Amino acid sequence: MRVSFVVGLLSGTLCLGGASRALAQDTEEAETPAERMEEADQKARELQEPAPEAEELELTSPTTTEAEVEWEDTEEPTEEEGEEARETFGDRFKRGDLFGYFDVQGRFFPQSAASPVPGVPAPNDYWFNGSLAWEPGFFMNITDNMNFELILFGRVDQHDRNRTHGDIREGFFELFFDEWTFGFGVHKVFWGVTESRHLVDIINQTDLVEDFDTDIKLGQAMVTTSYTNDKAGAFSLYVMSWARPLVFPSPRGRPSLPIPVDNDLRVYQSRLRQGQIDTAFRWSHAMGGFDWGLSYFFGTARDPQLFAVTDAAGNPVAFQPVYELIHQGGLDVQYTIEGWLWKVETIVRGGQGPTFGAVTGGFEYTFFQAHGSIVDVGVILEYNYDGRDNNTFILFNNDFFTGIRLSLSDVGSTEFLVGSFIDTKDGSVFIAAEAARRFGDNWKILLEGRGFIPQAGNILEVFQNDAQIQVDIEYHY
Amino acid sequence: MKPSVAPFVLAAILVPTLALAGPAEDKGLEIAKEADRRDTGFANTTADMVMILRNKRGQESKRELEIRTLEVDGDGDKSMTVFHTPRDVRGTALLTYSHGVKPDEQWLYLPALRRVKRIASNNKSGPFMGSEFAYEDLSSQEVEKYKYKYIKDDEIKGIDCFLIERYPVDKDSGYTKQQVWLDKDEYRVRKIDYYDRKGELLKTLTPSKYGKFLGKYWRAHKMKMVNHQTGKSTELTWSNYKFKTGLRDGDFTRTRLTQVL
Repeated sequence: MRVSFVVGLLSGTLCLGGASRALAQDTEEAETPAERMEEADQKARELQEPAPEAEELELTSPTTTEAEVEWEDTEEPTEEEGEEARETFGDRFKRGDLFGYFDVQGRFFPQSAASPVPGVPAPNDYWFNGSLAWEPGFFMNITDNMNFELILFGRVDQHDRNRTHGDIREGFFELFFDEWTFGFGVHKVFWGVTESRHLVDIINQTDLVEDFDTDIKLGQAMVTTSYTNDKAGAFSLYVMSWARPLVFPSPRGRPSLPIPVDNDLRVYQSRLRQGQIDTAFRWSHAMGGFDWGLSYFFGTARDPQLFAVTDAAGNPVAFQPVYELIHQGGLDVQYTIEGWLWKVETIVRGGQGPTFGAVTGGFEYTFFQAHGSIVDVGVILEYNYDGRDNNTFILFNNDFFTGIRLSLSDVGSTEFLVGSFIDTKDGSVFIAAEAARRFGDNWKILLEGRGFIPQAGNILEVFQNDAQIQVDIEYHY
Repeated sequence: MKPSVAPFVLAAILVPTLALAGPAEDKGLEIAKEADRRDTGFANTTADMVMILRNKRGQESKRELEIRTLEVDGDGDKSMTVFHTPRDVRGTALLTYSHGVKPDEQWLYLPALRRVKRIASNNKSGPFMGSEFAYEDLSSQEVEKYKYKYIKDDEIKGIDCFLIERYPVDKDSGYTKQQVWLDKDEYRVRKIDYYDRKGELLKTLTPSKYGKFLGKYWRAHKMKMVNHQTGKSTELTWSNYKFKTGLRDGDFTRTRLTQVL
């Protein structure tokens, strides 16, 4: 059902892409007389008052193509290389580029799941979960100043109804001129510099059922504009609506919360509910070794507060998500020098109970070609602090993250990453290891293992038995 | 990352303060400056590049890239490299502001995360995309990145050449020296031998199929790099060179990095 819906949508939008290209051609033709007038005008002006660079420009045609190449006589090019009517890579985008990947995923759980109710087997007590995903994409350079991109996503999951889901990751028109950019549609935007947690990044909802590492995001409907200047940096304004609710894994999903989050019960502080208009502003600039980002967001929180709903006997049966209106100011800075990347992100947020602050900061240092090998070894150390102390779902209230990244710079771009969070208060640990390699030109295999070593009373205790090994086989086209 | 190696594309300042001793050094520098002078003023270029990686057993792997370069007056070039294949890195783009002897600035765009990441730029000697080309082989070749020495007149396939040696100034370079053969007619690179940190011959680059653009600028359409120590090789095929395409500063910003595709 969902897949065919996705296919329908895709073909629909492809037609749309074709139509808009046809439209663009129409307008081009329609404008030709006007353009000619303009050209004539300009020529007239140039005759009266030649532009300073006119002389230089006259020397050559504005662009040179292969056809105008003079080959050195010592080595006559072969026929194949001589005529070169070959399509440029850029032309590929004028025609429209189809891309994407298929993913076959298996998750293995060596331990049996902990049961929330003693005596009753856990609903997610299985040792294997299989799923299939497809992320089809389409990109088109409609004119030199206008792009359209569409990226859809769908996954079918063996056990978790909530993880069988689809999304429009991108459906975005973008117009760009020298310093200005205008965009509208569904889009993803990333802000920030740190690795272990993305505090400042707030535009998009997290696709939590895909992966609880919060790196994967849902598309967000928006209108946006930005002004970029060499001296002053980039200023961006975002006006958004229809913020997506955070979808948690169902009780059949693994890992999942012991009590389900019921999104039908969700409430919004905004009278307009999901129709609330969110606004955001960002300034970013690179000055010497420093990359600065300053941001502000006002609108519906992406991460709701969860409140337990109880039955008549007072037992919690579900969590009710509450989406409040928040103000959030953010600052992110990276200082880059030789192999060092020093990073800090900090936010102040008001609207979800008392105003609080949070910080993530640390460094990444890379030993390039360590010991004369082809392996780059990166060492990451970051500290996470979050001012919310009473919220159950803040995993990063006071933790260290340490990680080691190995990049082989080989033909298959082989990479390893091992990382762990250590709670500085009670010593609870979450550890993850990843490996990825490309095979041939189109295949990619990813391996990931995760485990939890919680101390009594730590939030991680609910995931205690949910250590997993994940295998992804991807075909990219 | 520009068509660099080939025609000795050297933009920018010719700092006359390189303290060199002896006539061989002076002549070497003069040759490098002349090659640079002949390639100044191209303003901007775009080109497509296909990279074929071959291992000892002859197994091949292909990468397709698009490269845009902007000449900057008084500084190193700006460039944008966009990956088309392999498809898992499609849309990944690298923005480089090169600065003669000062460290370059580099940002990497990762399309899956929509993330622009400032990256360390001291990874000069690392292999580019698993190929036999190091980052420094493909980066903007400014005159002041090396010290020079003229060795002798020589011949490559019957073409009269100058043979010069150049010694990287940057301590992060993977080379102790490079021997460069430039033809006397047009100062085009005909061959480069690269010597590793131990002083042993590591790689040989052979550019060929030169074409002339705008009646002045020579660009090689083939470049072959052979690694003598591993037996692996990488062949670059350039096509669709375009000059004075209307690219400007605004096309080489971090904002634009996310919009290339």
